[in-house]
Amino acid sequence: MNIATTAPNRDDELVNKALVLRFMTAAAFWLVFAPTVGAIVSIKFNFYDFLGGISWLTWGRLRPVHTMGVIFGGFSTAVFGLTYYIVPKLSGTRMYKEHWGNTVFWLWNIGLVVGFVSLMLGYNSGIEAGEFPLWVSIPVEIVLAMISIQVLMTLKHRREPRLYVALWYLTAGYVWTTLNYAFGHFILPYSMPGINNAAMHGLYIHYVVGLWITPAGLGIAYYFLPLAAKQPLYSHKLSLIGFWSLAFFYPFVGTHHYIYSPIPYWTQTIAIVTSMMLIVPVWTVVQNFYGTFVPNWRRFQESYPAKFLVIGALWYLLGCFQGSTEALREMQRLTHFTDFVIGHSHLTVFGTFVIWATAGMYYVVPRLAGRELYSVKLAQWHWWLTVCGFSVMAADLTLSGLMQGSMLQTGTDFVDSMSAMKPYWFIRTLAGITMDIGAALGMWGLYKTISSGKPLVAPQAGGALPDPIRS
Amino acid sequence: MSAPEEKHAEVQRYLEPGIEEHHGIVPAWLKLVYLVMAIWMVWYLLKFWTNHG
Repeated sequence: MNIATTAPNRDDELVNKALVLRFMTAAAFWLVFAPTVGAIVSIKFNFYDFLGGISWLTWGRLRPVHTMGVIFGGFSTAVFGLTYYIVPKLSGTRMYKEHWGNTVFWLWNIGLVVGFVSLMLGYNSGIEAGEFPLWVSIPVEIVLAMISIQVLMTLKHRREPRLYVALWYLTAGYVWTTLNYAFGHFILPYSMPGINNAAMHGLYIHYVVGLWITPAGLGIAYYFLPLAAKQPLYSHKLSLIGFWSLAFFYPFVGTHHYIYSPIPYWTQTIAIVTSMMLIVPVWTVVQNFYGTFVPNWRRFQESYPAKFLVIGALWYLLGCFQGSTEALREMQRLTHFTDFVIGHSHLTVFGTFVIWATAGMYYVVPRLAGRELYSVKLAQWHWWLTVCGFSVMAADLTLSGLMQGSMLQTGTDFVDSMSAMKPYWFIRTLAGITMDIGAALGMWGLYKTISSGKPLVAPQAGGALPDPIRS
Repeated sequence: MSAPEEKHAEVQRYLEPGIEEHHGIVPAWLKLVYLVMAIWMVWYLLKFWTNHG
């Protein structure tokens, strides 16, 4: 990897630049690969026999490659790399056992490749958001445990006495997920039969979303928010309310997938209540976001990290409001088994957290590479194609879901309701391809920034580097 | 400047990354949201703990 070293930078003292940039490169690849698989899967809705004659390219095998690819391939690889940047910076000391990072990188990425090949060959654990077979889950668990130890021990040896809220979220996310992944893969499949298994499965899925994707994404967003806005964070107090309300309410949310099922009524009620109560952390975070950005709103025009953070916060608000309200029994009756749920999951996982991770990548890559952004044009295309494509996709899935739910409630035959979805599925595919092209252009731009961007040079010896990503 | 505004304006700085944050306040509209949600939570739990009406 070719890193420009002409410009001095404090990052040299704390951050393993080569490791972080290697993670960024891998994340860039997975963030193109996984959504592309999603686009291919979506084409199958429009042309039922598309790639249907090849067993390893059938819908049932590619769909988990898409979902696991986005969650663990794209998002998590970016988070790991950004963790190796954020944690030392906020702790004021280098990462504990820094050389473990190389083992983590290779174990993780080889594990992902083996995992996706296994899924395409038909080896699937049958646990949603945890489809990797056992021989992949073991290295994944080892990776999670290794990074958790690194983060915790780095905090123990930190020089900065206070813990910024990004560290709260990241640390909690790693610890929770190390436990949850072990629970979902090594305990759940072997110890709980019947409806209990389904209920616990619901908890596992939502712990992946709410106790990994959410805190990891918020950790990243909180770190880059004041830096991208060039403003102090609006409120430390709000950041703590957001963290603790998430930690308190989220553990009970998972069983909202089983409303009207045989699991006890009171557990369904608790899931509904806690789902709705997530309005507290979500609205708190959004207030903190926009409270930070509004005093320096021009940064939204100037900075690509700022653009991605702001649009991610908007989609976070919308997606989480969907998620809270769809848990209500009346809304569940309308939306269950419809594309409304798919719209919600895309708004939150991609629209919010992948987008926030992308903001982090745009901030970190030029600075660590010591190079200007390779092409502002590519970043512009990335931004606009993502905003346009994803907005259409989210609206399309949400509206088609409501429409299908209404049809089913009024007695329309299920097959007829599916036929009515065809135009919406076509729009979804076009919107998805639009997003994928945007992601491919943006990630190519980041890769080229690392490999051949113009070196950044400080105006004076030892001075601050210029902002590498102004449009 | 009133007392809550002074409290809000206090700035903490994390030296290494150059991040700053206000001590901050909880805006009144958010306090209202917290209150409404808490009341709704208690009502919903009591009303729907079982499906026996």
